[in-house]
Amino acid sequence: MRGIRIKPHPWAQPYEGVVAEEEEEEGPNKVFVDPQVEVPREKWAPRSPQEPPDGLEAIFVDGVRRIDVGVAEDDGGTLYWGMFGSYGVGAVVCRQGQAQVIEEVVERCLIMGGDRIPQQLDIPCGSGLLRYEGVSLSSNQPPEIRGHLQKLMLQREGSLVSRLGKEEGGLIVIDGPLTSRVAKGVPVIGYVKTHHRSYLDEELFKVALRLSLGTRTPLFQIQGADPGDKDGVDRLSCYVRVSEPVPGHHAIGGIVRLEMWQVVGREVAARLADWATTILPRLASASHWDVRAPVNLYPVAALERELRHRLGDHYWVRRAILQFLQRG
Amino acid sequence: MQQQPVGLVLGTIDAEPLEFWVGVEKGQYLQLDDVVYVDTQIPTGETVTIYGVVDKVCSRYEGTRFDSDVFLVTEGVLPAGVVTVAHVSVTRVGVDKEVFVPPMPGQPVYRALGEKRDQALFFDAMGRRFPAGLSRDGQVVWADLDFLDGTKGAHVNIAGTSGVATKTSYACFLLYSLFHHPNTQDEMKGATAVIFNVKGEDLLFLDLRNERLTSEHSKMYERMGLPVGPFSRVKIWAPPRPGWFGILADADTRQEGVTPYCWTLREFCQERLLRFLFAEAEDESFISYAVQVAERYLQRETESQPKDQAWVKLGDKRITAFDELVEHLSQQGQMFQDARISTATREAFYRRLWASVETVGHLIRGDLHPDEVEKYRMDVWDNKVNVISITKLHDRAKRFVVGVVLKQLLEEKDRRGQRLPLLFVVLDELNKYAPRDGRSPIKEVVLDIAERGRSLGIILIGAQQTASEVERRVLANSSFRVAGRLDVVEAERSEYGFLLSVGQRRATILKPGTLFLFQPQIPLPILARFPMPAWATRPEEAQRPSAYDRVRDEAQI
Repeated sequence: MRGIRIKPHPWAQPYEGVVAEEEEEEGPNKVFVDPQVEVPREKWAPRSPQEPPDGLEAIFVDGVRRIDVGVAEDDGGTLYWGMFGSYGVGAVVCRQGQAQVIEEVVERCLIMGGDRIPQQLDIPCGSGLLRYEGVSLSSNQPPEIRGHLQKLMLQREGSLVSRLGKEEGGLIVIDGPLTSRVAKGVPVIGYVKTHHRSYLDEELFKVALRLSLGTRTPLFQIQGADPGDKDGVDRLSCYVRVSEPVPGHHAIGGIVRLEMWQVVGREVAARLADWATTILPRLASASHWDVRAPVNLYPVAALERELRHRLGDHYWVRRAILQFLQRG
Repeated sequence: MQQQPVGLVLGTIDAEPLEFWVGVEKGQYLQLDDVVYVDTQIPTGETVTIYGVVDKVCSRYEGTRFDSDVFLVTEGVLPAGVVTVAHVSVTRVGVDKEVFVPPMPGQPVYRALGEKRDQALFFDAMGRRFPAGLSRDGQVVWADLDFLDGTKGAHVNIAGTSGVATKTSYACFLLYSLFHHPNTQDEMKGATAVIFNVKGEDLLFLDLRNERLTSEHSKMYERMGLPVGPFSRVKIWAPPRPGWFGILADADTRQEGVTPYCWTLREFCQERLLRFLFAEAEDESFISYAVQVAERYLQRETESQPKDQAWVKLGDKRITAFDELVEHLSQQGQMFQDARISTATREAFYRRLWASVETVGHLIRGDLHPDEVEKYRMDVWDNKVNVISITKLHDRAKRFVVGVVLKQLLEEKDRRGQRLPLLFVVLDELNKYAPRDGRSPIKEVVLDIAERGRSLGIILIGAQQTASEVERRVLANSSFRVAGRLDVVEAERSEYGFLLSVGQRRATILKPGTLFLFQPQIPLPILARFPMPAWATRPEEAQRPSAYDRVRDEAQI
């Protein structure tokens, strides 16, 4: 292992070991919304869809990531930043009577900024080897290096969704808004829990707040809202109540927003939204179960925990990396 | 042809040299009493095999947090894994060389079959072994004769609630196995068994085939290499009917082939049997002194009287009945005065003596012809199996018979001075004959057998409902400890420590015909099943019911 000059460096320490789920980025503030794609504005009212067909499967896709150790490399006085990171992506399928984790992938990478090209490392850890793929990044800014780990994870999620979208016939829900990671045209729902920006004017948003359990708003169109996509791809969206608000909380509690690609067609999008509206309330978590309850769904919360577990014990992994770097 | 592992050693719970946990592989299962082994390597390059028995199996969800998650999982809302783990108590570490290391997490665990199973349960180390039952998976559970016949140990103690076919049934099964299995039958050729039939009359048919034995139970005998049939060379003994002019065996369900037994007045006096009429443990010690005085008197007075004579001559009186003897003793007040026995004690002695006339009198006879003396003398040595019925007797008479028979057998063995041929004694209700508290002449004889029987060649197969009420030294001298179904409270007592805590709990739900067997070589109790008797236990089960009925009808005219 001669020639490794990277050293542990605590720049990433505040983030080390923190297992982060996806951050929901809802895109730029200026978007154009058309609320009349399903019904005219004056007919906006909560919609109660019919029960989905028997035996419909709902698949949930999610990922977690963790910075294992932050590192720095000194090359003739120039410092390059980097990190060892791990991420996991998986899927749960919920059928009547059985919920099951069907996909679990854990990957690890050594990301170096400043166009450094790190080699692939096999780090002995207990009875096995942890393989860290070398990933090179042109930026040498720590926030971007951190962000790159999320990007890798999102890409992995995206390819999993594309594959599942081909194989499985059910309802596929991905945690977070639809972004460029998800191929256009895949009939998938983005599940957005936060409401940090508003898409509807005051009057229409009142309709959303009036939603009762298992109802949704009519579809509305969000135009060109993908921050990562230069072309801008339009999405169809609606609000759904998946749980009664916790007593004393704002009425927005228990309401989520769904997103679908517009290119799947209005009919398909409406059908997906209807299925989700009837299925999701069953899966909303109880307040004692999850801090993000009720909108964090049981299968997703369980999947995240499983994936976190699969990343391995952080202190154990960290010790293996430090030992490896020290012995050079 | 390496078999599939049933699971892997867990690493989330400590694996120790004497116990470890196994994660059970998908598609496999482990149940209680399964025998398993794991090979572990030590740095010298040697492989150490660790054997054990499963004594706990648990399954649970993984990835859930709250008990109520079970509802979410079954609704298909929450994904969860299911895992089954089994706890293994180690029976043996290595075969030739003991190296006490734990198995390593992740090492494969295999079901122990064939030779491996024999090694796990030390069956391979038993030079002379006989079947003691079948495990639940139908394998033979062997017992080591060395620990039964006195070579390294002796005696069996069986505990169990009544009516669950454990105690005497299992005692008889053990004898049957010893006497009939090819491994041991030659050695047991000269052996004799004495079985007391304490309750009911189920043991009076040992010599008759059980016609109602199901094929399932027949197969169990066959699997153990045993013939299916009754005992041979059986003699059934029953007391004479009280108040009957002649001597006729007193048994309700059988007359044919039942021999009456009794003792003569001369034996009673010469062999000092009086004490066995005062055999209740609660009898005060000052009475026992009065008994000694009276015994000495009777022995002295009858010393030279001939052996074929049933009656005795006391003073100038010929005494031919027990009540006459009691009457005679009642007139010997001077004898007690000389011995400085108080009037109160003397009166107590007489009261008890008179009370026994009614209950025991018919067993002690002076009205027998010399031929009859010979005929009704209980000679057990010519028979393979002797069943002595005391079921019809009053409690006092039961104690008298048990006490006298055991004493005479012990004396006979002492006189012969040889361990072989072996004598097996099956005695139920040990708590009555060798109770934990108090002293009695019978308890002394039972204790003597328990402590010296190993060298004398007397093997006690004792049984009782509650081992906690039996003299500790009798239990401590038993190499084999057996527990059938136990009462919940009883099972928790320290006398059943050999069952370990899991076994103590299981003993309360054992099925009929199932028991825990503990023997010195194996550090764990082994669960064993034994078949229904291949001999009859009721007239209806006997081979020739019509003939039997005929005989009974005749006898009851």
